[in-house]
Amino acid sequence: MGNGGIRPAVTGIGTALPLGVCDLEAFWQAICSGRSAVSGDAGGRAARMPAWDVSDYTDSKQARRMSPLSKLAFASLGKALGDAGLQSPPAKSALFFVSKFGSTEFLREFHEGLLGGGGPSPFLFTNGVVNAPAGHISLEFGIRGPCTTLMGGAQSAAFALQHAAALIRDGAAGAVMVGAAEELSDFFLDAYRGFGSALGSAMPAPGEGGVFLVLEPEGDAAARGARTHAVLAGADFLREGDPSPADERRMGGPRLFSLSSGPGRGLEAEAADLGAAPACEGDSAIAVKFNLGEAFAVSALAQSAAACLALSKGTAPARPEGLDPPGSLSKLFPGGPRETRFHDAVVSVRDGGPVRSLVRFERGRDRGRYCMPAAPI
Amino acid sequence: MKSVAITGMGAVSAIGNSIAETAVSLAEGRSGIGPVTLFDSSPYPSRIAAEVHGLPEVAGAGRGTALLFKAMGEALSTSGLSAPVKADLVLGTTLGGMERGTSYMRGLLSKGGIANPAILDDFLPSCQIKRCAAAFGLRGAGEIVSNACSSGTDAIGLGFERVRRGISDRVIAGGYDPLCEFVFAGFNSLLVTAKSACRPFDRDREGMVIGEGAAVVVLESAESARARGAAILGYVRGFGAAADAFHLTQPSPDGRGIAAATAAALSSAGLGPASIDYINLHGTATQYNDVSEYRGLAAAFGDALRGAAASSTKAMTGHALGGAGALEAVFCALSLSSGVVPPNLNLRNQAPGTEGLSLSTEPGAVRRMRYALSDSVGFGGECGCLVLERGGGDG
Repeated sequence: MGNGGIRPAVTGIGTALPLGVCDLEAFWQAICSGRSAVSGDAGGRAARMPAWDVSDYTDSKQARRMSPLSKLAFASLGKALGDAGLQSPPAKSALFFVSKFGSTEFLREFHEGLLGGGGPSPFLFTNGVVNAPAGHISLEFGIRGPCTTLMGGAQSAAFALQHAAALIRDGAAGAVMVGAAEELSDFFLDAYRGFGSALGSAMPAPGEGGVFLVLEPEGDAAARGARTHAVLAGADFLREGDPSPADERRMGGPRLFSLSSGPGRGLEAEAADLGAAPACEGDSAIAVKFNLGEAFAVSALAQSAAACLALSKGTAPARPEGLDPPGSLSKLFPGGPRETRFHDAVVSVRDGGPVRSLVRFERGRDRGRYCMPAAPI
Repeated sequence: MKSVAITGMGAVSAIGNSIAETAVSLAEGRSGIGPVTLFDSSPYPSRIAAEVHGLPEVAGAGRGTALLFKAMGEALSTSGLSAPVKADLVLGTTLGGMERGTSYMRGLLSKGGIANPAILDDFLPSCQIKRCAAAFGLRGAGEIVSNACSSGTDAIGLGFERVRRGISDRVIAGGYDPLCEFVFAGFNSLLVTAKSACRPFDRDREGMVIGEGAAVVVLESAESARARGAAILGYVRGFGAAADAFHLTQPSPDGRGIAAATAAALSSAGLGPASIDYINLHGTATQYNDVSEYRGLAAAFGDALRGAAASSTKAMTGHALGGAGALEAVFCALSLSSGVVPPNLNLRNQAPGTEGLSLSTEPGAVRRMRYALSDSVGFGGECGCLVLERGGGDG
């Protein structure tokens, strides 16, 4: 989790999520008040997007070419650029886009043609490939740097942020957009639940949406007067045998932990592993899967987005609906939002495998709309 | 920045199920293209493909995993590493286990509509890397790059960056894709497939031939390789990537994406274009690709382009999609090591407007080479480029 010379600043956050749809402030208010977008009966619980229209963010001809996945990616990036105060990405921009599943809706439709007698559709083939969202984004926003699509799932967020930071620190990119999208088609939901039944395990309520962060060199952002939500201080993977982060010597003030556990899934163990419990004075935690369901790659980026917002706004959100924290965690999850000047935020991502990832953000220096008074970093 | 050595290689494609078989085929100019046997190709304009034969099955897994396991096992074996292996895994694929997805859909769309969800266990690439890590005792992070036909190149490129920058001590990188009806039907629907042969850079080229395969390299710092006494099979010296922002499937006619990726790769390697002795071309033999690619390389190389021997090996291997860039990187390493330039088969009349390429057509042509470059282009306009150096240098 080391630091280089040029620090990558998060200057833009864009969301297209079941909470707040494409309104970042509404998303944050929903997180702060602990709202959950998960609904439905026991077997069919999911956090789905309410009705929305991507043509609010692009022309309708272009929108018709896009899969639901591409629409979520496109809208969230557009909002992130707007949040960063950028009309378009700067020269030498790069993109990392993550989706674990790709567009399952276009996949189903292509197969219906292929296997059902209608014939394979070239439109669905080319727009259904996993990197089609990155292609659409590159075309529409004129991004001519590397546009990389990752499918590793939640852990891809840390991978993407590592490489984004390297590009910025080398001066190889004037901005890097890091985002994720997942779509919940009916086809996906049937397969997801069927897969859970085949495994004999209850699957967490799935979610969908899109999230993007815009990262720029901190100095460049300051020079153009951009607000900085937070600074990316480091990202790394914890492999088997690595020292536990609980043994890390803490520097600075209160820390926000953005946890990846959802309902019934190891929240206590994750907090203990991070050294978050017992809590130090002022520490808080958020767990967006209680708010947004299990949205795979999107969850990890939503964790990061929420962490950056908590740093910049100086607010610890209220514990989410459905979370009744055990005593050891009660101090981490306040009953209502509380003002806290966090020193940093740690985003923990675990997906059941032996490797976990950690991303750390620090509060930005900027004193803009969202920022608390600056402190030495 | 660290010097990045290749200490292990594995490859499986239509021209060989091992590095040794592959090297012989490259030298002899042996094509692996033939009639499709894996599914009924009669509904499609093209009925040829480059299939891997004699591939060992992996219990409970699909063809993509089987290809990956074959290349992975060989790469680890040649690197002298055995479980537990402390390495991160970065693999490129377009569709990973899509034949499993198609099987599932076939069940769903059949009379009665019953599909077995257990099939989906090996559908997602993220499942395949976990399966791979478990089978080979890998102890590290795993990532999948899905940049369409540039996936394999970009996976090795990102693996290179991780080692070079000290993010990872060791990375196992590569690419894989199985032949399946999904992609075969998809490319046929685009009317870009050949009926008789793959003729890269030929005036009368008729399109691409779909292939399959996997290639894996073990990347580590030269210092680490020497410390453990590992043989250095070559070096990755540079990587560049760029998007052309032109069209979702067609490359920019001026080749600006390839030009930018190539320039970035040369810059990353600290080399001028005149240093490159051999170029393994993307060369799909589609009308659009070959001219665009030539223009991009011409822009990046200038007059130096003529000085490098060049060939597309897809006339032998077909287009292995996410596996292609990784296979072609391995072909470069083999060529640098043996001095044999792989031939650009089936070339009768070089396409007008590509005369600046010095295409090597004769099997077995030998040349003293130090640096090679391999480029790839994918849907979405993503272009990737690697620069490799012969092993045995000072590192």
